[in-house]
Amino acid sequence: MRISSMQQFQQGVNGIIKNQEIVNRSQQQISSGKSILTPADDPIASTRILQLQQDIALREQYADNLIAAKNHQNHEEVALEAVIENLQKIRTLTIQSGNGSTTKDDRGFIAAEIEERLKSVVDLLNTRDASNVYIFSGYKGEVKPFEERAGGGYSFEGDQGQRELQISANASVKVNDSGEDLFVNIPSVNNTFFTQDNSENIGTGVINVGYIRDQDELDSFYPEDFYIEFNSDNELTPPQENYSVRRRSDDRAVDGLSTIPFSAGADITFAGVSVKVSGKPEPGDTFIINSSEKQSVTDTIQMLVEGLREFDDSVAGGDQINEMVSATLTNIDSSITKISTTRSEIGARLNSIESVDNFQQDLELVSQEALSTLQDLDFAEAVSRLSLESFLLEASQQTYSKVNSLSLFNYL
Amino acid sequence: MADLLSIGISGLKVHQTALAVTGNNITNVNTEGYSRQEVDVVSNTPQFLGGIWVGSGARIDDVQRVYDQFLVDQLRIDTSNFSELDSLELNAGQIDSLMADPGTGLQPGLERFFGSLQAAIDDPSSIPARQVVISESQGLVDRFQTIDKRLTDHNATLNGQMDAIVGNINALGEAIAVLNEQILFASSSAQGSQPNELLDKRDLALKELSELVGTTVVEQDGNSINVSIGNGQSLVVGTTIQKLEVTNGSGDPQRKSIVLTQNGVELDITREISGGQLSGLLAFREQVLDPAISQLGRISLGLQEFINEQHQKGIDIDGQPGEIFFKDYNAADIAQRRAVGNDDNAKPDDRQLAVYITDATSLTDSDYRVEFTGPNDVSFKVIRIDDGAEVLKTAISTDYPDTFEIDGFTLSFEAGNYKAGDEFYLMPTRSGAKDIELNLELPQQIALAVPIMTNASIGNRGSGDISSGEVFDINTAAFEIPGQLQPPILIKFTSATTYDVLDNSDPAHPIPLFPSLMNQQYIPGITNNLLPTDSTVSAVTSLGGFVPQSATYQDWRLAPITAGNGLFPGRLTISELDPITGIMVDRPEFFIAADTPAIETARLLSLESGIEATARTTVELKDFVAGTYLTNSPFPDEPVTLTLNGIVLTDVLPVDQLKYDTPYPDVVPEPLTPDFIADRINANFDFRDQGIMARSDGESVEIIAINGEDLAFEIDGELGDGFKYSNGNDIYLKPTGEALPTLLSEFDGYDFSVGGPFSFEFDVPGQDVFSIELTGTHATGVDVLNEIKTQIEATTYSFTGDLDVDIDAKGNITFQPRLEVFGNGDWGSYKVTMGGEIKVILDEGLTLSSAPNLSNLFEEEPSHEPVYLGYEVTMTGIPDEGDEYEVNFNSDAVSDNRNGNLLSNIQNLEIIEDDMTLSEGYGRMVEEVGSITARAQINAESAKTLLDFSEASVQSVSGVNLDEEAAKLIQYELGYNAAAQVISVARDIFSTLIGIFR
Repeated sequence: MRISSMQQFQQGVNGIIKNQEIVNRSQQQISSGKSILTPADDPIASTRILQLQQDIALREQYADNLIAAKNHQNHEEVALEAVIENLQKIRTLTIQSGNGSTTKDDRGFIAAEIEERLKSVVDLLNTRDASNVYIFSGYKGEVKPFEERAGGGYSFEGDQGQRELQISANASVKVNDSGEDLFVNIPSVNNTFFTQDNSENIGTGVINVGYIRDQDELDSFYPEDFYIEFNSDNELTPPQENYSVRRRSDDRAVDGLSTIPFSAGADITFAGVSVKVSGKPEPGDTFIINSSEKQSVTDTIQMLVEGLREFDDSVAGGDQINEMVSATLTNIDSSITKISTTRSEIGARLNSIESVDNFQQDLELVSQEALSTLQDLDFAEAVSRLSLESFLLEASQQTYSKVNSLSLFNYL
Repeated sequence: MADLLSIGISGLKVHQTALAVTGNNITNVNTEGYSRQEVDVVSNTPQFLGGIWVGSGARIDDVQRVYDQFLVDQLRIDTSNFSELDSLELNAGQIDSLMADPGTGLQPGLERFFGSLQAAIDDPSSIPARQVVISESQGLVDRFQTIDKRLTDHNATLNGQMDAIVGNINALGEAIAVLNEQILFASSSAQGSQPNELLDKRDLALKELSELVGTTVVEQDGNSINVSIGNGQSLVVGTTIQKLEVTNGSGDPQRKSIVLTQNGVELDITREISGGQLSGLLAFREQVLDPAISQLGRISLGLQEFINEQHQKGIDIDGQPGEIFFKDYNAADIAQRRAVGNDDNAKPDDRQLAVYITDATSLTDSDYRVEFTGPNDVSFKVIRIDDGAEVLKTAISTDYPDTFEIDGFTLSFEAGNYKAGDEFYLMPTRSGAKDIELNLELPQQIALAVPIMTNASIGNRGSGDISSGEVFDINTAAFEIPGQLQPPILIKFTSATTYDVLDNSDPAHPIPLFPSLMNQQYIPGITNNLLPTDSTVSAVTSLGGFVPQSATYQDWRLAPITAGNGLFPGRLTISELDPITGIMVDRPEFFIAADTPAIETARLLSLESGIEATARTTVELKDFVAGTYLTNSPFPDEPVTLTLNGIVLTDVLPVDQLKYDTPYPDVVPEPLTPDFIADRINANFDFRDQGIMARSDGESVEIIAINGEDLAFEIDGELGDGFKYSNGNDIYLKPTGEALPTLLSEFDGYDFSVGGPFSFEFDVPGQDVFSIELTGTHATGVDVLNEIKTQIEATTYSFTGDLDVDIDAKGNITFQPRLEVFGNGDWGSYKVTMGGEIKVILDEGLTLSSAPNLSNLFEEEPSHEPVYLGYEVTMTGIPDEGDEYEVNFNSDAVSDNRNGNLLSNIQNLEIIEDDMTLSEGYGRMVEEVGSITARAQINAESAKTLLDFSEASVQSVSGVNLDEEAAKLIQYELGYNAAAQVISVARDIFSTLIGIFR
């Protein structure tokens, strides 16, 4: 075929440019370490790379969560261990106080010591974590879970919230336990009750924890709940603050407890229980007395302390003390059991975190490998390819100058 | 004799010219478009001398370019193809590298956003962790906007390129037209000899033109050519040119169109263009740029919809409801920008359309065109541009806004006079990435908590395990007041398998909800939804039992008669929405006779599909009084006898009775007491079986038939033995004026003359809302009660019996009409019967109406209250009777991360077209651009090979080869020298001849 001079030059140049392009591409691959430079190089692999990158990013999120979850569990575990230690000391003191040879004074001293111990238990229940959040107050992380009540004892101010952290695509783990489940919701050996102010109240009246005056009478009413309702002063003549005690099931007043004159702080006694309302309630205010089979560990100990100080050295007093001490011991044991159960739950959670962690790491390795296979460059191959390509470039350059130096004009 | 000299001279001339042509070839070796030329040498006509023909030298007949029309045509076609693919590859390659680069792609932004969210979930109360979420969200927003900006900038560049290319096309067209004229002139003046250089120039211009756009060239008359582009639209005809123009797209203002003006008519030929850079640009725009912008917009909208929706279901660190996370993507200005009217629409330009995104999962990445097809001004259709499918064909009403649902968005005609022929362009997703904007400003505003929280009472004895609750809809009444649950709920188990859902606003007095959720079924062993889960059902409640004008007297001498239950006759109609026509269709009417027991009406209604009706009858008795025996009465002294549904409640029975469960009050007090009545009813075996029960609070007794049976009372006794009878529905007086300075009390007087006005209103279902104002000075509590009663009676409120006004210990005023029912001392008795209240639960699309308007069954058009609360809680395990669970507002919940977990889970949801997560959606977009780029690369490469080949072929024929020319140079030089020798010989001959004569 006839070749034009222009064509001859152009083809030589084109060859050089093409070889340069190829060399440049290999050079880019080697300097970036990636086999795929733009998605167009391999659209399917590029999409897969994006997916794998997303997958790895997600696993990194989970890895952070795994560490956080582990920390939360360990923190709680340590706190619970300390609570059990303290409860066991209180238990020993309780046994001591039930020893028939103690006098009222001795019991007073023991009560004081138990009270101190109770304070340190409550301190533990009010433990905060590294980010200054109360670990036993459920979702109300900035509300102190166990607050001292005006009438003595402690009330639980948190909620039953349990926070969960996602630790893999389809597993999450609980990272806290509510103080209510752990320390309040404790089966009591006897039927008991707890009190609460109605949040709708407008007056300043508060109800105390109360105590059981007559277990048999309480049992006979169980599970009825009651409320104390303050009536208009004019219900009595002359007008005077007064209240009625009503059954919650049908609002009917308890026999003989309708429009009773009120004096702040005086015992209000019905159905085997004794409670006090202090402050100044307004008409329409109500205070609720719920019967329950459960008692908080703080109430159990607080009631023991009150009892130890109250009961005298008489024979009857001795019987009451024995009864109280044995009930308290059972209740403390229930508490310890409850906490121990939770500790073993924590252990189980730690185990599952561990196994998820291992699994996640394995999976991440798989993803990383897949990613590497897809996008990473085979350097040996690329470098030998580059040397071949450079050789070709060189050859095309040499050919160009050789061929174009041939001309008939040289001989004219 | 032949003239040797002139022959020699002709040889000189010929070779001189040949050398000149060769020299010209050598000089033009690098001239683009130049075709080598050859001299056409012919011998001169011989002379007839002396009977023989003698040659007379040579001459140049023509100088021709060496040229192959077919190869040149092929080259032009290959040039067009290559330029098109090359331009597509070049532009697509830029988008391609933008997408997947970690520095510029979307993927890292998504990862960092969700990663920061996860850190905040781990430690919800940490402000720094939340701050990171805010910054990363802003980072993500910036990513969307940056990528969108790069893409739209590319569009602007592309528009500029189109301008430039069209300018060049016009210039080349003009050059061709001028060359046509010159060639015509040159060839006619040269009598058929071709103006080679001009032809080369024209061919070059044609080749340059075909780089820009695909052309078709037709030779007209051997000299002129006509050039047309696209689908035969003429660009150059002979010596005239029709110029192309770039205009703003008539449909889509951001996309420029190519327009050709032909005979004064503008023709949009954008879609006809094929080949050349211009076509490459258009293909890039259609295949890469537009889909990329729309797909990115769709990902952005998906993210915004899901994050916003979930975020609004949560509460922030201060307990405030979650705001929208990103600014409203359906704000009026944004929604209106998504629809653009065609410039050619009839004037005036008064139409206003808007496109609201309603479901990002069904969005496509296509644009849409609305066409008013005529013949009238209301019919229109909507075309999905991607696949040309007609997605909607209907008509508008003039009732603006008129809305239509299409592919995940709502097309809304908002104003204007639409005319047949109008066209509108809809771009639902195009601005999705551009318009994304962060709404949250403070880290505290991130709503990681759920607004509700459940709480199991510690008094519970069962093992029921309640979930912490999930919020599905925040637009219900339950969440109307920020920071509160309205009302808080108490779930109280009445047995291990039944429970009531109560309004726990006052924890001492939980009351039934409206519509009520009493006596719900619980199934142990499975996960139970404790609250309604169907958001579409609604409830209608009848006006309830009525107190008659007076009790009915039963003469002892006559047969027993029945007292009416106070319910009027009525006609009830159930209407349902026809899903196809959208019209409400009435089902056959129900005729309810007068005095029909509510239980019967409920049973009838329940037979209807989609309807569940229940009934409940309530009577309240209070103020029992004992009459006196009149000594002058002709009738004997007798104790009071009260009968309920035929069962005597006031009998005195022997110890071994079988009527009541023990213990029961065996002594009948005088007067009767609420406690006595309640205890007797509750202890009676028959009433237990019938579901009739009573509750006494010592002052009044409430008797309830839970299945809605009529409650019929009969009293027989001394003159004055009796009670007040009502349906137990207290009506509340709601203060609307100034607050009272001190609490009202039913024991104290009150001075309403100072301050005020002390106005109140009360709402009576089936009647109206009435207003009253309390005035004057009243000395005693009784006076105050009388004042209230007088004011109520002064309104048009219609009632029977006597108004009983009550002020509770908190100063709240309630009243209800009560009828005094008494014995009259003879053997006759008085009868009253109460009818029940009917609650109807209707499935979605059903409504209930009532006629005539005087009927006291239902209101004519009763309000349909939603049953759904907007949130759900589930429970497992076995609860015990009396167990209580509260659902409250989740206050102080700084450590709650439940909504955070739900937000984080959005990265795993299949949002794009219902089968891709956000990042998969982005991945697909990258893959698509990558594939197109790869394809363009490969195609461009093969087109390049073809182009190279045809270029080589053309060059092979027409290109100058220097060696060849050098050879020719030698050849012609030799010829020239030889011719010169001929002249020299001629001169010698001549000299010899002259010498003879000397």
